[in-house]
Amino acid sequence: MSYLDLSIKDIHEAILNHEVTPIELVKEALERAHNDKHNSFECILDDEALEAVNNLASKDKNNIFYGIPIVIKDNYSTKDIETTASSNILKGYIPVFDAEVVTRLKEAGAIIIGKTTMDELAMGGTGTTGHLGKQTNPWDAERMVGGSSSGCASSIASGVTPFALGSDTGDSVRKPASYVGSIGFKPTWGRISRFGLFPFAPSLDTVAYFTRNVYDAAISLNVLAGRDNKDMASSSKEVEDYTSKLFDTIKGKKICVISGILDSFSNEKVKNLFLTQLDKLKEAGAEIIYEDIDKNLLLSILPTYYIISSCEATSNTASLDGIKFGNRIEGDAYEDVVINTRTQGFSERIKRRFVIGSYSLLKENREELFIRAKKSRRMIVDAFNEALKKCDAIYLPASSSVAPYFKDIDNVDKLSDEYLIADNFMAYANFAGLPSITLPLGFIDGLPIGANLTSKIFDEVNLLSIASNVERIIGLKNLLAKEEE
Amino acid sequence: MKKVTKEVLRDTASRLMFTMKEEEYDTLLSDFDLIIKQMDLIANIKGVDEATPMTFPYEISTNYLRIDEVEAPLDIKDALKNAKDVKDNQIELPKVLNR
Amino acid sequence: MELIPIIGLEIHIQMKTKSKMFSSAPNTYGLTPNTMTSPLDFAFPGTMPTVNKEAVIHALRVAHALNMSLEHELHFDRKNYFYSDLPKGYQITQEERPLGRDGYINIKDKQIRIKRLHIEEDTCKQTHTDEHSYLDFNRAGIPLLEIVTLPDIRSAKEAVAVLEKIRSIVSYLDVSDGKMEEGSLRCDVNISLKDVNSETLNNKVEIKNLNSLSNMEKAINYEIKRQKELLLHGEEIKQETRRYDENKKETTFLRIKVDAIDYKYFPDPNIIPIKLSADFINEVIATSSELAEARYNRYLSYGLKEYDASLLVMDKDISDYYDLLIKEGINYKLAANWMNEEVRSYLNKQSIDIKHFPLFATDLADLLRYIEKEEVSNKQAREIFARIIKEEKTSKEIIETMNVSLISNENEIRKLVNEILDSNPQTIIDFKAGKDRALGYIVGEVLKRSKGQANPKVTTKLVHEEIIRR
Repeated sequence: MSYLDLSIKDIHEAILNHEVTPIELVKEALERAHNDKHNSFECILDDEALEAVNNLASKDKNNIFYGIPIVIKDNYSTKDIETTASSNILKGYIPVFDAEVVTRLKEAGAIIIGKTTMDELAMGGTGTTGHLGKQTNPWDAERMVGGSSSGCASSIASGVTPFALGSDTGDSVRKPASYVGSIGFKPTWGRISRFGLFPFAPSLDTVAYFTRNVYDAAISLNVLAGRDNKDMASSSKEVEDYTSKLFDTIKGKKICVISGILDSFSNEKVKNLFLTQLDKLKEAGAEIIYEDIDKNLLLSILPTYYIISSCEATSNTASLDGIKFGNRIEGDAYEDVVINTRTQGFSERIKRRFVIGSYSLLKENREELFIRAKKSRRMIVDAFNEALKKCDAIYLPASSSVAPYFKDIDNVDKLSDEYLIADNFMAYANFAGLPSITLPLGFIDGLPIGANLTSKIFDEVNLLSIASNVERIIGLKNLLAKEEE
Repeated sequence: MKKVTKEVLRDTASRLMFTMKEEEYDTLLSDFDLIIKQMDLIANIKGVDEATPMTFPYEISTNYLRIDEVEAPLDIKDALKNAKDVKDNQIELPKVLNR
Repeated sequence: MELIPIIGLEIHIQMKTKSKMFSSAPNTYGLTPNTMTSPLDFAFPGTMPTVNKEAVIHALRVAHALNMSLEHELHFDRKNYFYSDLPKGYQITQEERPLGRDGYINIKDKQIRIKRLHIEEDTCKQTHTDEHSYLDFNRAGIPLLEIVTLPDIRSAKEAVAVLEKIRSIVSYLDVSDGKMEEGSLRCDVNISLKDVNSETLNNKVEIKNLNSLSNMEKAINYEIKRQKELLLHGEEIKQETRRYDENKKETTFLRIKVDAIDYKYFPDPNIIPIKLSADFINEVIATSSELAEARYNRYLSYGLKEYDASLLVMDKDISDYYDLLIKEGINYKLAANWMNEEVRSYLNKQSIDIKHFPLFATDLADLLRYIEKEEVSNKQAREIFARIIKEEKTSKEIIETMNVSLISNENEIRKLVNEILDSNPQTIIDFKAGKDRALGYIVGEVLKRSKGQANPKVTTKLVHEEIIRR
């Protein structure tokens, strides 16, 4: 066992007790990164990491992140370090500034040991669309880790670092977390500054991250949360101590299951596992209530998400033309340069998505597509907020199954209840900006699967408190998929 | 809503300043087909057309306005280092046709 | 057919602020390309806009001066299109909820309605050679005001009056220099002709890239003529964009006006609505600078003639300078005369504006005080004026060397007066016959004879005394 396998909290204590040094941790993390067989990395930052460790003297030793190796999804701007969002169009792009969260992590003493792979431009959920190819699941390399924060998921599951910074627009941290048995936490929209996060769909994008357990997730929020004037949408609400109620009891807390969503799960093993664990929560004193939401609303979550995010994404990526930065392909005239750059730089898949987004914004179509999706968003948000008025958190399985096999990716009926609801419902938390966390539910056939807890906006203290209890009751945390010797 | 045809899609793509392989248009048409079917589910929501379109996740507004003070501009090296062709401190492009 | 011009203006004004509209990069002119930028100007991924308070204040003041109803909540939209001078691939603007709506300005005896006023950002500066184009991002992101009139304008002269009024407003509010030649004010004209006896509207033509008021006037007049000829020959006006060729003195075709650009407007999701409290708006308005009209009225209340007052307010900097003279205690009329004559003539001769005028208001006030105290005559003062500028000395220094002293000695002047009266008997007869001008004539002759050194006031008094004695 290595110190690197522990929680952030325990590693931190070990550092303070001189049981292990940052340089030892970082060297080991780098070694693990180099040994990674899951295609988790865009780049591994040996020199930068070692230099950062050498400069740790200027940082506060008492900060929980002091000396902790971390990885960052490659859609965060990192100064002087190539950042591609796993798209060919950004090959060679070297930012001249750090994202705000990167600055905060560095100031806290965290050591960035690599940038992780992802679905191209964060637009995907399988971990198979990045320009370096697919990411595989450390629990079973024939299976996906999901996406778009795929490299984060595969690296955290194989234990490279105890913290992986990702982003969540529809479920891009919370779904992969389910597939790899880790914590995937998305705070309230606006709780953490998005300055420097490459935008996919800004009205949905949220800085989110992976940890090994709930406590680590809570303590990380203490470091990352807070107003940033560079992000006008970041909240000025006071930053709380998100660990303050972790040890409060779950007795009396109301946990709500949306029956329409649970009904859409066809896999009996998943349902049974969920219900079994739910009973344990009840035994521990939680009050379980069932609420329903109009099925038409539930079925609309995915199309609503798809249209809104495609429309915003089309606009956000219009700056990717190779002129100011990025992988510029030549042409006779300026127009040719832009067309060639974008034609060759974007994958075919992403282009199709942009066409759909652009089409939906055209005058003659926007009422029926874009505007209607925004109306639908409001109705969905209202419905879930209504349910949340009656409870402390909504609890549901985080995926319809364990991580799917790559070969089964396209064997999906995209008009089925299971696909539309069970596989994609978590986007409701992005529509409404709700804090939402995936944590391990159990194992099915040796593979992990998670459950998702979501609460009201800015109710992270309560959410994490409940999550901490659930974690304790279920008894699964710090799960690492280790290679068989 | 305009009917989705390959021509319409080709035009949309060209306005987005890229081209797609011919086969991709077929895939795109079936993508659209699926989207339209999925969008029909939204149409089934009772009262959806009377709802107010939502842009932000929750009621949010601010009275923050940035004070008009200057911050040090980018060093010209940083400003231009990601541009492929630079001449006389400016980004150089092949001629712009549409003046 | 009786055809009348239907003209509307679309005006863009660069606002004077220290930093740019959505970033803290400097808002400065000229200088080495790409040295006044922030990451946002290059649309580096992850950069986000932050709204400039001063620009909002400027916009509120201008909208108020244009009698518009003001938005109390700021919303921004994205206008999406691809062009080499548009780094983000979209411009942040205010399509749905412009800051100002439904206002008007008065020109002469007519009201021109202003449809909307909104905030947006400027694009890069592009230069072209045969082979290449070059981008300078210094200008990208500079705050702009867009003002759109309704097509109430009926002639080139009216268009010029509208633009002059708007320029005056933005200049007096210190929002912008409003100089077309420098690009801080840009104006596109939309013009069509309508038959008064028909309901049908003809296509309108857009004229762009106008670089001066006079060229705009000429362009409009030419275009009216051009369209008239086409319509009278039964031809259709094509919807197109034209420019004005200064050399040929005509408007020429630039490109077809393509209706089909769909800008796919939607609210910018990075800028949440910004609430402007009533207190904030009221204070901004209350602390606005006095506009030209208000100053004009103030000058009238000083007893200045309409013509003189209007000359003073034509240029805010001249008016500011005048106000400084007044502050120094100089007589209103004296100061006005000197501004409108001596100073203006000097500036014209030197081809400079008052900002480059070498005398501080305090220096000029010094000189004018000598006139007030009757220690020098106007004529002498003009000499001193020229010399203090040329020799960079003070009035006092020059006066000492000039050995100037106004002859105020009554005896001396009376002697001269009588000499002149003696040699001008007819003038005395004219005066007695009721021709008051005769008096002025004698005064003038006395001043001439004394080489401008006789105190004009005293002279006038004495001439009057002596002439009635005759």
